[in-house]
This record gives sequence, C-alpha cells and structure tokens, in this order.
Amino acid sequence: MCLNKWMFNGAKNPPDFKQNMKKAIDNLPLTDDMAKKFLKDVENPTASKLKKYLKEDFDEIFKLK
Amino acid sequence: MKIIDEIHNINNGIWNINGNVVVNKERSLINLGTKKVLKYDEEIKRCFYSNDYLFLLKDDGISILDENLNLLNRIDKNNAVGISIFDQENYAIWFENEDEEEYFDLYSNAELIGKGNFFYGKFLSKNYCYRFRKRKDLQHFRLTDLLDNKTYFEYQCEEGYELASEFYIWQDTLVFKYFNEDNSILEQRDIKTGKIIWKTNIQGSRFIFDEKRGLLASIWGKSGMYADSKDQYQIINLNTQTVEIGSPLKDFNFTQVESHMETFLYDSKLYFSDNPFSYAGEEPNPIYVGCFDIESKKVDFIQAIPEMAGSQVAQIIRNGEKLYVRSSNGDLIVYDI
Repeated sequence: MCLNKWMFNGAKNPPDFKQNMKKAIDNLPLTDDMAKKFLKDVENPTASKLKKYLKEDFDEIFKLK
Repeated sequence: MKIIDEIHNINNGIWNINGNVVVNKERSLINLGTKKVLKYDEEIKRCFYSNDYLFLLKDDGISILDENLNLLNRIDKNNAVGISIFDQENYAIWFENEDEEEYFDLYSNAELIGKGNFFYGKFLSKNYCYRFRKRKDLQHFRLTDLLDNKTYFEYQCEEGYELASEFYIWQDTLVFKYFNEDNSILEQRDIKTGKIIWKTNIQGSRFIFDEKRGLLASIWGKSGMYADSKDQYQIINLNTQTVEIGSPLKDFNFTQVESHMETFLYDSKLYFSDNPFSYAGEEPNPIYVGCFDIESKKVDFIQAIPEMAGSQVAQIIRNGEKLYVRSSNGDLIVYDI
C-alpha cells in the first residue's frame, strides 16, 4: 500500500490520539473505488480491507514529531 | 470543449467497461451511453466491477452483469465477500474466515477446481498471478498459476530495491518495475521461464499501459511552481525496446501534474489533469484537464474546469467523442470533444 505519511506535532499529542484516530478511520466514507486505487497489489480490494490496512499500518502512516 | 452534461453526488468511481461508461449512484447502476438504469435494493452488500464485468453481491449469491446491465450469470453462494471475474463462467469467489483472512474458490467453466489460501498479490489473468510471501514484502515475488500449483519463476530484488505496484502481461512476457532512492528500473521477462528479455533504467513515474500497442506512457511536471522542476513525458515502447523521455511541446507551465494521478490513453491522446492546490481562506484555484499527443509530443489543449475549483480531478475517461471528468468531490462533467 502506498499512502502518504502524515506528520503531527508530538508536543500537542493528546494521550488518546491513536485511539481517536483509529475510531476516525472507522468512520471515514471509504469506497471500494478508493481501495482499488490505493491497494494496487491487492486482489479483491474493498473499503473494509482499506480501513483494516490503514489501522494495521497506522504507525507508518501517522508520525508524531 | 463544450459541457454537454453534469452529474453530481457520485460517491464512487465511474467505470469504463468494454467501452461503456457506467456510474454507480444512489443504489443505481447507470450506463451513461445508453441511459439504461438498474436499481438495486438494500439486500445488495456490494456493487462493483472486476475486469470487464459488473457484479452485485448479497448474502446468498452474486450476479454477474455485462456493461449493458444485462444479467449474465447468477451464482448461488453464501457469505461471499467478493469475486474476481475473467468471464461469466471463469471466476474466483472470495470469502473471509473468522480471523478476517481471505481465501478463494476458483471456478473454471462454472465448475469448482480448487481453493486458494493466504494470497498476497494479484491475478493478472485466469492463468497467472504474482504473489508476495506476505503483505508489504515488496522485495520478492513469484509468478504462479492461481492455485499455486506451478511456479513459473520468482524474482528477488537486489539489496535496497523495492517492487513498484505495476505488473503487466504483454504478449508472452511479464513487465514489472522496481526502484530505490536513486534509480527506477523496468524489466521484461519471459512469462513461462523468467528469462530476462529487456532491462532498462527509466524515470520513476506511474504509467498507463496500452496493451495493444505495447506502450507505457506518463506525463508529469511542476515547472509553474518550482523553477528547477521540469515538465516531462516518458514513453516506453516494448516493441522497439526504447525509452523516450522529453519535454512536452507547449507554451505554458504545468503546476501540479502528477504521474500517479488518473490519466487516460485513447489512441495517441494521453489525457491528464493539472491540480493546483487550494488553501482555506483563499480563492479556490481552478483545476485543469489536458491532452498530450504521444506521437506529436504536443499538448493539444489544457482547459480550466471552474466548476471544480478547489477540488481535484480524480478520474478521466474518454469514450468516443465524449470526455468524462470526475472530481474528488463527486461531480462529473461530460464534455463533447
């Protein structure tokens, strides 16, 4: 999966940042089309698979600086 | 170009199926050419496409449709999560186990011929797929049949290199790319033996592939934003084993033309978008759709889309004399070319 990295200011990091972000991913209006676009090497790309991978790869995508 | 139609609130992509443009909007499939509409009910859990076929999936089965929204096959199968369709009688049906791991049943002429487990990779045809050892292990792949009964060849990247997500079958060869921080390399290998046929340095860009002509094409540039940036095209011809990189002929600068953005190749015309960013509190910047001729190397036109200002071009499809441009906000504009 090739997704951009998102940098956040660690000094402003609330203790439940990660948990809140993962909840927010669950609520994203992702579609199968988006999954097909981002999951280039995945057969049967689905919105639910994209959410699952976003959460699994959370620490690589969302960096605290 | 003249606007001949506008459709709003498209929350999915527009799909180019066998030369027909199909939209999935508000629980309806619409063939924009014939205007045929197929409404589907709440029981349908997924409405999507695979290769040249549409499908509707519900708890107790899957319907395969053609581009004219005609039913081709109804497969009674419980709890499927997806289907990969090669044709109406050759397909793989996807399921999930309790650990959310996927597996598939493979059908040939509508007969079950085997099951596949732990698949990380992609089907290239009904005969070939590339597979990684695990997800995100992008240094190695094997080219196999779909049930992994036969390995045609395997490839291990050199230290520091990673496979790009672009694999193409062309004639009896596999074309693929890999890269490190400094280099991008394209390789072409015999699909059955893995014997290397061609290996060449390329510019790191994402291509659109024209299988009929054996061409890979891309265009990109930000010279309007960064003085040291070049606007460039790259055309790889598999027939002549040549790589052509140059500056498109034009009298203006690209601002934000990205090779990874959706482009569309129709005959010699490569349609692309220029998506300058807009910032909150400022007047939204217009975005553009353009056309580059891969033979004359000239940009035929670039046209602002004020109706989509502040958004991004998410998809471009040309069908006959119509150009379909979809924004990331779900607006679709149809132009008469």
